[in-house]
Amino acid sequence: MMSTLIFRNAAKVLVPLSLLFAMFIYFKGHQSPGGGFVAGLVAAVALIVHRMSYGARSMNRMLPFPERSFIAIGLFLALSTAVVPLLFDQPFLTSYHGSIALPGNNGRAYTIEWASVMVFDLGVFMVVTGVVVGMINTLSEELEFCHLPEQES
Amino acid sequence: MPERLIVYMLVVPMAAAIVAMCLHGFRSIQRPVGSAFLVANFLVCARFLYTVCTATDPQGRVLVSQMGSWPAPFGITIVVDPLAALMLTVSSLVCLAVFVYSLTQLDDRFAGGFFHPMFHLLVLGVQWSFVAGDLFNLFVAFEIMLMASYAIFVLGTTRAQMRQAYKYVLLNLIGSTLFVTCCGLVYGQLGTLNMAHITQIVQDGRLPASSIPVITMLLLVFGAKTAIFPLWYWLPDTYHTLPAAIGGLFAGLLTKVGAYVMIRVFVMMFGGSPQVTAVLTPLILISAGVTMFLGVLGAVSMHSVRRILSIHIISQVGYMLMGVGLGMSAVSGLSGGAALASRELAIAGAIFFIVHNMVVKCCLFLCGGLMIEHAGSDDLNKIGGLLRRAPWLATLFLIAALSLAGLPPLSGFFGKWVLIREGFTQQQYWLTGFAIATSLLTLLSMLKIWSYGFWSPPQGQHVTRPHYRVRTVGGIASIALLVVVALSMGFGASSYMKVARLAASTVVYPRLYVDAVLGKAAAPRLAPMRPSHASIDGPETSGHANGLRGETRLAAVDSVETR
Repeated sequence: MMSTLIFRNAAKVLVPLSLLFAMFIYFKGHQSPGGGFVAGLVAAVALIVHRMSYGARSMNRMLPFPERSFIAIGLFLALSTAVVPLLFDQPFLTSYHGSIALPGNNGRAYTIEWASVMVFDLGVFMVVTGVVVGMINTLSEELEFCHLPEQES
Repeated sequence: MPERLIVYMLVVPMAAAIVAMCLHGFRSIQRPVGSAFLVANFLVCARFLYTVCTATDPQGRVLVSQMGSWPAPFGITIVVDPLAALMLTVSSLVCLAVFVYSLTQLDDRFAGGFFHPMFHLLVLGVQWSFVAGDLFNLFVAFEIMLMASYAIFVLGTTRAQMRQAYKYVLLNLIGSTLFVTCCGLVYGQLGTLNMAHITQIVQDGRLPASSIPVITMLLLVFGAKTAIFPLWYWLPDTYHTLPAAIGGLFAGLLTKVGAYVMIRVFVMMFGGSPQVTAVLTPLILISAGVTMFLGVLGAVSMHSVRRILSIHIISQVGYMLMGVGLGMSAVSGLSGGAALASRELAIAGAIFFIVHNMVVKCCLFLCGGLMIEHAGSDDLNKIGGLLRRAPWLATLFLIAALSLAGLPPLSGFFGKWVLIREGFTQQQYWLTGFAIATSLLTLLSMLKIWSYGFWSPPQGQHVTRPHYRVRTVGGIASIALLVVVALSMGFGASSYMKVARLAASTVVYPRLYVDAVLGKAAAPRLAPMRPSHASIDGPETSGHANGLRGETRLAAVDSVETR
């Protein structure tokens, strides 16, 4: 834990911004560089900055479930998206996509494009976040545990 | 069953791993669920073996699925031909037996933690290596298999284990680095990584001479994984530190995947190029002779059950390598059709031998585990009298050991017989002589375990563990399953050999494989959903799943467009 005043205050700004940036990369990734993998790394870095400034307990409170479950859920999302096309007589991993027209803007329609790969990508995002946070957690728990007796004495 | 369902061979183990991960900590549920998944896995594999072998139309013998509807030389292709189907069926059976054995025989120290998810991921990696249709996917499959094996390797974390695991991880990391470098070089020289596409290039005689060093480097990579002569040193020290269930799994699968890949790559892909075979065949044949003979000498000199069995793996790999070498064979005195027929038979012998070895080797490791359970040690000087104490175990061990040595009605004989006969046909007298001598010495070392461990009067301290009876019954059941399969391979050798010859013919005459993979891709059966922004969308969608792959394929698509 590196709880200097400067770092804590910087983290207050950095963490939400990085998480927002992770979302941006995730959504933009479909047709340009980016996507679930990179977004997962960015989100993991944000979480780790939070962990460094406010401690492990505070970070764990931020997560909806333990970081290891992230891996299982992410893999499940990815696998189930990949399997669905088999039901419709298409090869494994086939992607479906389309667009939704939204009304508004003086008669000119907005369109939002969607693709089934996004769910797959969300799975990748969760696996990457879970793995990186899990690794850092395990390693630093070991470090913190080792340093504890020295600090007390 | 429709062709696209061959992907179930990957979906089932992956689903099993996810479920096992979710059930972490609930071992009483993990066990039946894991067994159910492995049974399902075996049934899927056996079903496709049946489809492939009984197809009346030769086109039906190679099943292909293009992931995400992307056409063949660019997308990820999954191929099941008779060779892959046979390997998948037997390996899934071995996995099932090992899993059942581990339920009762593996201490909580090992079986707690993440043993279950890692076991299923290892199965995924092994099966993916069998069905991968291009070199890069083969690399990814190897990585999954190795990652899982690293994790399983260090379960329990004893000091000896960690010391060996360090070597094992380091050597495999070097191997993987070389492998991915080779992939890059092959792609740079041939512009493709798809196995069928490369085969076609080789058959057309368009292989540049500059790629021969790269292919030799691939021999180094697969040689290290298969533990052949100059690169075997990691194996005998590592496997004997593991508990029997895990040792059996590794012994039954890992080196055999390497041997399979050698057949696929050197015989099918590059076997059609005389320059490549002229360079590689002598290397492979010399290495085969030295591997099998030195391996068995090592085994004869050892005096502990697990060490003897570990070193035996190497000596057996020598036979497989002999089959690969005879199957490539540019040095034989034969010509034309006779040479092709001899190559095909040699490969059939190698395939039969690999399949036999998966089952028997794994079985012997599991027997070794039960011997330790009974006698408290696996040092042949300290144990004895197991024949009276565990008559069932003794019977099963004797059958498996004699199968390994290759006594006539048992399974080991037929693979060796075909290999030795083809060795004479191709006038490799020295190598064939070594093969026969090795076979005799194998019998000697197996009889050593038998006479010291089972036959001699009891000595040393015998331990009794709680739940003794139940524990051995579970182990005996899985060993019996493997022994029954080994016996069927001996007494039903002709039908197994028929499948092996079918598998060998698709490897030696790769036309069918190439047409199945590339021909179907050319037909307009692409998805109606095909995105318009193909060159950007395609690589991105699957790019995340396997790292670098996206960029590689982006380059491939670009190069086609500019052409």
